[in-house]
Amino acid sequence: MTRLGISKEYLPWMGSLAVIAIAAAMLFQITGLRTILASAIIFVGLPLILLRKTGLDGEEKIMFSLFIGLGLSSLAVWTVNRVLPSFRISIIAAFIIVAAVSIIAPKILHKN
Amino acid sequence: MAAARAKDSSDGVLKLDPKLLSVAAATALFLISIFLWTLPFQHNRLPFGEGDSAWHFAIGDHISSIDKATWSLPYYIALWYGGFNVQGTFEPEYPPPNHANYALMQILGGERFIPVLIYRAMASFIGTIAVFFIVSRLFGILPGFLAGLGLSFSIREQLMYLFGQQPTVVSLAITPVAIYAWHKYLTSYYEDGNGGRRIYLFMAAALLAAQYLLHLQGFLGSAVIIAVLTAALAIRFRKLPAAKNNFKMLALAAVAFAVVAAPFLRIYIGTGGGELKLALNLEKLGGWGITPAQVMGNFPEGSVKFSAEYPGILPVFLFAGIALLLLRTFLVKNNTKEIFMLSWLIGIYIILHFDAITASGPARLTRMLILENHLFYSLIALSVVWLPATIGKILKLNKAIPTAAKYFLAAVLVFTLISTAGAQTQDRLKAAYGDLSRITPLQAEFAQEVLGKLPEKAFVYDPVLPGQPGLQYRGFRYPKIRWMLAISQRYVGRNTPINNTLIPDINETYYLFDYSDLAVFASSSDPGTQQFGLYLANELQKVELNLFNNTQPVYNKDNIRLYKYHQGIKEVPTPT
Repeated sequence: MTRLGISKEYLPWMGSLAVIAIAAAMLFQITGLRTILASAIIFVGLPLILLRKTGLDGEEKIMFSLFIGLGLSSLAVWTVNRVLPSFRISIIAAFIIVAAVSIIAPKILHKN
Repeated sequence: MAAARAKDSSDGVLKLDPKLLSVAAATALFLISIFLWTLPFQHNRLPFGEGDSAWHFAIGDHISSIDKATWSLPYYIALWYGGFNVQGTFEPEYPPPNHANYALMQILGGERFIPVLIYRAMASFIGTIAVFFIVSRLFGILPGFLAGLGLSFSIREQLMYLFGQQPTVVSLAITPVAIYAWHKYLTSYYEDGNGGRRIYLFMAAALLAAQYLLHLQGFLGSAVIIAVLTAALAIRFRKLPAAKNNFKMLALAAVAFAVVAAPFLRIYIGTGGGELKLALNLEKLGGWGITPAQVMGNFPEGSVKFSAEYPGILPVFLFAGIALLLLRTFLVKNNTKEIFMLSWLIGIYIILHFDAITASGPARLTRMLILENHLFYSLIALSVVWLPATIGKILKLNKAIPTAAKYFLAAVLVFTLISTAGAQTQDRLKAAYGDLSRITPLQAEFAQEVLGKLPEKAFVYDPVLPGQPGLQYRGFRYPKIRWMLAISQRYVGRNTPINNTLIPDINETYYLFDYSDLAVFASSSDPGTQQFGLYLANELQKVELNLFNNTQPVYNKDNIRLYKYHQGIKEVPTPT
């Protein structure tokens, strides 16, 4: 773990994200930067909350998160939005719910 | 790019940390792809694509604009395919993720078009990263990078992306990752003898669910390959992968998938996705792929033509890869990876021959060809590694010779890819929708400022021009009116407004006469284009005078006129 509490296995990927975000900013300015960071947070970050303590290695966690997130992250937001009135608020709520699930859920995913 | 950490190994040879090298390779592929695939909107930031492209955009845009992911479609989108959706006019035709992804991009990206366009580009080239991931995990970073590079230049993905079939492309891109997860589960099950690593089972279930929600075709592709792989490994290990020690987990994964998938089943049934008509055309079993003639009028030649997808000497690498795969499957002792590749190949064969046993049309199979690209570029890349290794082993050569040959072949492949498909990719994507085929700034502003201020349930009719030359113009004009619909959030289309039961108030019907493109054609220096523009302008004016002679338009600027319905209109021209 680093001082910021980030596991070292993610550091190269964070470097990769920074490079891609800079490239996107060069092409599309602040919109490009925001879009890349948003994509990383939504499509990778949200599923990664659940996968971070599994027995997968760092690369598998990132890649599985990305491809699962493309289909299921927005479904999580959409589902929360069936209850909450705002889609925007549902984005934050989905993160809170997934984080809570990762703490209290039975450790089916965490074993091996 | 993450700097690869160099390590001095005990033999004094400088070696790179494979984990860092893998991140660096994935980053390089992503950068190459994002630079190329965003070329269509690096200078012109207006949206592009065919009608489907605007349709998908419109739904995501609706979600973010009202800040609510409603289940039913709004009036202006519902009328688009009004009457075709058997579930009802206002019922959704896709599960939520595609369009919710667009909405998320708009909200978090902070702009209406660019974040969605960037997402579309990424979701369309993401197969590059998927294939890199699985090939590098199973066979090494070099073949993984080469396979990914080939895919970043793939014409088939690019055409689907440009036209707006991105939901299908992203769903198909997940297939390699889903079958990899399943393969890892099965091999751990057979090799550990302890019920297998359940995490891979749940990953496979989650990936299949993601595909199912993005587009059914990707899910079906994975299901077929997974079935073949399961059977192949069961034969290899002479044991079924279901026993007491893993039955509970298999059932749990199936239930988890069903919980996610079941609520959206009626969407696929409603749009005909669940329909499977049997029809025997066994003569098709002997061939491979789809001919340009089969898709003429629906897809360009490049979508299906083998030589367009695999130019230059790529077929040589491909056939070498297939031959070596067959050889290795029988010669290599621990051949589970080879069985994985072979099952992938057999699965693709079955998928691309659905039309031999069902009434699948070439349109659906054309999109499925993307699955072939993932596999074939992997085999092309693997030939670079397998050929020197196999020859080296048979001839018992010094290790340095096959290694040198591997890097030489890799260099030849990279040169071939860049000089053929790579160069074509840059030209194609740079020129895509660079002319009048994209909605113009004038038309976009008219849609936003004029049409967007009409009553919410306004019905804007765009007259269809009759005649043969007009027939070509219809195809040119169609995506434009759909983008006007998406931008204005008002219905703009060609469904006749007369006696149309879906129109709540006939007095809120408007007629659009857009001469702006025709004026450009008519002033062209090319006599053919000039004549074409003048002819069409004349035809459109005839319709305008017929319906609105002596009537004041509600808008008249920059060669665009908009009229409101009056009771004298009894019929409107119909397409011929």
